[in-house]
Amino acid sequence: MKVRWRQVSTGSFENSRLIVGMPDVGLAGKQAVDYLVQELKPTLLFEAYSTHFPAQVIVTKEGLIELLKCELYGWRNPEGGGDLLLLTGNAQPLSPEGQYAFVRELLEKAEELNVKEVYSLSGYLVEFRPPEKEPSIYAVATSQELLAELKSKLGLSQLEKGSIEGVQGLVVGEAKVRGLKGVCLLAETPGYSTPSGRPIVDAKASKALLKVLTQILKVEVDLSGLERQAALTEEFMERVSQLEQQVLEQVLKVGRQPPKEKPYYV
Amino acid sequence: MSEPSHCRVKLLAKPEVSLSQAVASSPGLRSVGWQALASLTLKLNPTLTAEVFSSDFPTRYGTVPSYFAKPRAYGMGGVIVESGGVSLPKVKVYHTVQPLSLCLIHGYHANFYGQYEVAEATVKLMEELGVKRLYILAGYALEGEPVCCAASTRSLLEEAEKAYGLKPGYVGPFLGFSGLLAGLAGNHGMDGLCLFGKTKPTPESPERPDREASEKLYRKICEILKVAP
Repeated sequence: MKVRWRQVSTGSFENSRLIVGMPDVGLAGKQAVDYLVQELKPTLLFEAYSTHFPAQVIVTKEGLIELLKCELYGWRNPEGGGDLLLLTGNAQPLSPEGQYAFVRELLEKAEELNVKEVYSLSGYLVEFRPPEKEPSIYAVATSQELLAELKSKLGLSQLEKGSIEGVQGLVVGEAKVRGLKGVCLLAETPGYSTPSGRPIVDAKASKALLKVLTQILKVEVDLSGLERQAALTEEFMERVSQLEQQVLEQVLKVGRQPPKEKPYYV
Repeated sequence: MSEPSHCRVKLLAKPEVSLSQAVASSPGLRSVGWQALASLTLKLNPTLTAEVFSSDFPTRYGTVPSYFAKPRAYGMGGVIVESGGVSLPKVKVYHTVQPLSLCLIHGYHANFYGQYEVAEATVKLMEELGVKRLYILAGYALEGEPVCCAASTRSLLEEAEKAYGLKPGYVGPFLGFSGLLAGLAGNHGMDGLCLFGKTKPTPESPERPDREASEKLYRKICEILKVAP
């Protein structure tokens, strides 16, 4: 079995919009959906496990062992403007066959929950993003009309060429095949990581994604929590950068030490 | 979506009593856990209970280290030769009844496509044998105590600290057969306590044994099981 869905609770949803945020570059999309889950307090509907997730568990800071899984939540919109289905997780399938199986089964579940539109959120790797600059948001859509609408109403940039790897890309492609409207929003991120290579959440990119998404969905969410997190990340990265500079200076200093014996030139 | 199973379990000698505890390990970082399990097996002289076979068990892996499974890295199937005899690669499950009723699990890493299936089959077998608590032995390479722990529940973490002075010390992924066994056992309602022995990595030969670290880990599991080392 490539994917196993464990139903946690049931619920009925109308005119649903599926929002997908999987582990991605800068963890921008995943953090954005995690934040929505935290703020909207939706109902956990399904847990998904896959034999095509990485063959590992996670040991948390507290010392607890966690299997890799994805979670699908449902949220009834009190304003009545279309409900939300939110997918997040601490892993995504590694193999193409696992990713395809996961996406197909996810959309089957979403269709049972009356999904009409699919929005996928992701980071878009850039070499450098000036600290004072807000991340640009790029968009791709399942139709030119939809893309034109997003560009004109929200001033989004169009992603001209390339590919979007993983579930965050596939889910929009599969949505198109099924006749659903689909959009992938990508936020510029330098893809922060610790000196040991562990990814760090780029909350600024997540906030930029949610700023756009909440306008599209017409759902109000207080983003101040992400602003605080973004400030902490910038501060941390500044410290890392200073530390790197110090180490570099030390290395250069050692490298420049004069030789013990004066060289003699003829 | 279902697929044909690549895994089969051969039951050789079902114990007459329920085995409430199990100790497991598999080849891993500096073979810390693997060697400690080998010492415990030697000490207890157990009976072979069952074997788990999988068509996803390579004898030559497509990844280094073996437990770093990746898609499309199938490895090569084959047999293991020992003293002129041949045998298929397998997970070996042993049991003892005296001096304590215990299940011992010698893991084997499948390639990417079999890891979850093999771990799931082993957990189901443990369930049939009556296992309620699983100890996993492995190595870790961070600054910290000679042996640290991780657990499936908060109450087990508290118990480990109170009874054996064990504290969490490793944060991050736990790869391969042993990690999945710990995670899946928790999903099947078993308690899982991982013991990590501190070691130094040797990237050129990741599984090169660290006998000192294994010895410390062996002594700790003996203390927990109340077995003289």
